[in-house]
Amino acid sequence: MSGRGAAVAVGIWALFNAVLAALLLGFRNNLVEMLSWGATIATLLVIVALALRSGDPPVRVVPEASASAVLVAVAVALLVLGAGVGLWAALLGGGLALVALILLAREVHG
Amino acid sequence: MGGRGAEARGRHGAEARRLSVAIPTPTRPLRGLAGYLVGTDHKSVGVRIFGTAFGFFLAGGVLALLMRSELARPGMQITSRDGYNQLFTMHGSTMIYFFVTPVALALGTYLVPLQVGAAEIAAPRVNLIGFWLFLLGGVIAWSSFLTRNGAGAAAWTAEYPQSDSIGTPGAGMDLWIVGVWLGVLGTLLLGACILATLVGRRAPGMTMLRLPVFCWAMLVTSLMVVTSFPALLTAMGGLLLDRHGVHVYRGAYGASAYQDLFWFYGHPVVYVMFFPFVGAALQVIAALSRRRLFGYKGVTLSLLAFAALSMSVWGHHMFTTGQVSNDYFSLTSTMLAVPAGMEYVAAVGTLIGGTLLLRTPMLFAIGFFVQFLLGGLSGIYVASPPLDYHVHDSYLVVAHFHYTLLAGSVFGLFAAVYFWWPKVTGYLLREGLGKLHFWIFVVGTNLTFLPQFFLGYDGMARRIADYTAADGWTTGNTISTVGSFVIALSIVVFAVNVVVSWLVQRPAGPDPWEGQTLEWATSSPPPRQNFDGPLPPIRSAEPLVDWREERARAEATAS
Repeated sequence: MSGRGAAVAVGIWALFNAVLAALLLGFRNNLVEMLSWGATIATLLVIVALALRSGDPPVRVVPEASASAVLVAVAVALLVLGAGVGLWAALLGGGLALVALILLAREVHG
Repeated sequence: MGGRGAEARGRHGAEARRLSVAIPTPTRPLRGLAGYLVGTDHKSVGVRIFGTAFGFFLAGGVLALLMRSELARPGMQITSRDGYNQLFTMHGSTMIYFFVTPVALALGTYLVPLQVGAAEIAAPRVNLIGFWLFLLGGVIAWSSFLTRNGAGAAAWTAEYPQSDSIGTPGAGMDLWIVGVWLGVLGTLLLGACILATLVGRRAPGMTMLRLPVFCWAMLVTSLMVVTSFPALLTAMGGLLLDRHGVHVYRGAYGASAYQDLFWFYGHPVVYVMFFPFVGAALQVIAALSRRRLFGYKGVTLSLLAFAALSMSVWGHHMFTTGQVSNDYFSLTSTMLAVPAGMEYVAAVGTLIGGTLLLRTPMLFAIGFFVQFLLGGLSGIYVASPPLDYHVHDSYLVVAHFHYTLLAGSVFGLFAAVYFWWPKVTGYLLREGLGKLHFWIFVVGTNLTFLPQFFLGYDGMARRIADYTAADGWTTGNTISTVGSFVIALSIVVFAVNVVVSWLVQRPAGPDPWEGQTLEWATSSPPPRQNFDGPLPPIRSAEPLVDWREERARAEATAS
């Protein structure tokens, strides 16, 4: 199924957002507000571009299970936890992330 | 893996090409602990998100009962003032970050691939990572109760400087921030997978204007997720750094910048917790009215407009700060009434002239629209700055958002649960217990939240742990507390229904409601690749209605 229809839908939504953002320019605004909205519209344009590129997906093998994906999640949690509870968690998370990403790459490209 | 994949491609052959995926052995879903830990089937992940989120709902509900018990009478009876701060912080955080948002995305994770005729969700590994980040985030946020200073205590908004290292010291607040950050990242990934499925995994014939209305609701929901959730990650990341010595928000406009970033997430997330249930309720109403949805194209356009507008109203949370344009945000907030009205027109237009089956999902769907009306109308009220100045941070606001989120969205959630339970489990929930659940829930929610409008208008501030008898708020608070226990009773009835229906199962068959969308064209529960046989032709947003009509015409011609 072509992604053109989805691109149009997302594009309409991006247009609505752009109009509302432009309207705010006519009122009192600040940098954070305009940056947030600018980032939103930029993200939507990327999604539109990706949707336009998408077509019928090729036959692909989807995993029944993925232990390495779970390891990635645990590693990210430890990395972020490190910012709150101490360097040891971040180091543990960093090491685990390395292992998890290698395993994930092997699983995906197996 | 590659060998097994090639083998699977060969073995599944034409069927795999039709479904665009091949699934290596074993082709039956993993069950038990292994399935819970590492299984990637979107249906299993959806059920896991739902189960985990419902667990958080029960935990957050217990906190609500403790708060309501404390407020039932003047004086401090249950907890300390600091303990109360932790209770309302963890209650709000749990319900928003770890219950309603993820449970809305759980519906999408389970149903969207089925409704678009896909064999899998896009990026199933990312989907699995999203589930685990959400689960770990919730556990970490709740683990903050175990720290010396207790849990996070700066409300679910963690507004700066209340949430800085001076306002809320201790590791508990750090753990809360980390937990929320991970939970939001997890739900962001879940939303991205749903969006990618809608964009790139639709079956042949499933054009955008043939998407079921629930899928349209999930489309706008996931768009809001991927565009607004990064703002929360930025705000909370900055807050964590600020608490550890990096001066992120300490400038003259720091607190305002935090609020801008937070509410750029904080208001859209309200609609992330709303749109999926609008879509679900409209589908339930259409199926159980035996009619096609009234004004389908208008609904899709209004959903797009509604979602865009809801990205533009965050500043109404900051009317009283003097840091935003009240004119602009008041205008956009009031304009929300227009697309919201379209959803009501669609619901009422479908009901009128329909053959109504007043089964439990239908009751909850109608209840959703009726209950939400109170929340929506009071939202228009507080969208006006002069009125908002009067009721800001009062119990009127508490009543407003509980009418949108509990009396609104949770009604939609239960409509969805009762409607799709047979598809997910293969057996029916009991109608009698379902209706009992509905009516107790109606009584409980209105008993709890209606008095809060009056309390708020009378000046009772939100987030206070105590009041005096002279304030005159005792009666309203006592009624509200009784109501909260009635809500709890309704949840017990639901739990009894689940257990009874599981112990003595009544098989549902593939299509117990004469559903309109593709998920009802497969077995209950669906197989690993979602569809065993060929999909019915997709010529509208209700392919099964087309199919039944064609079959009836063919039978009439033959006879």
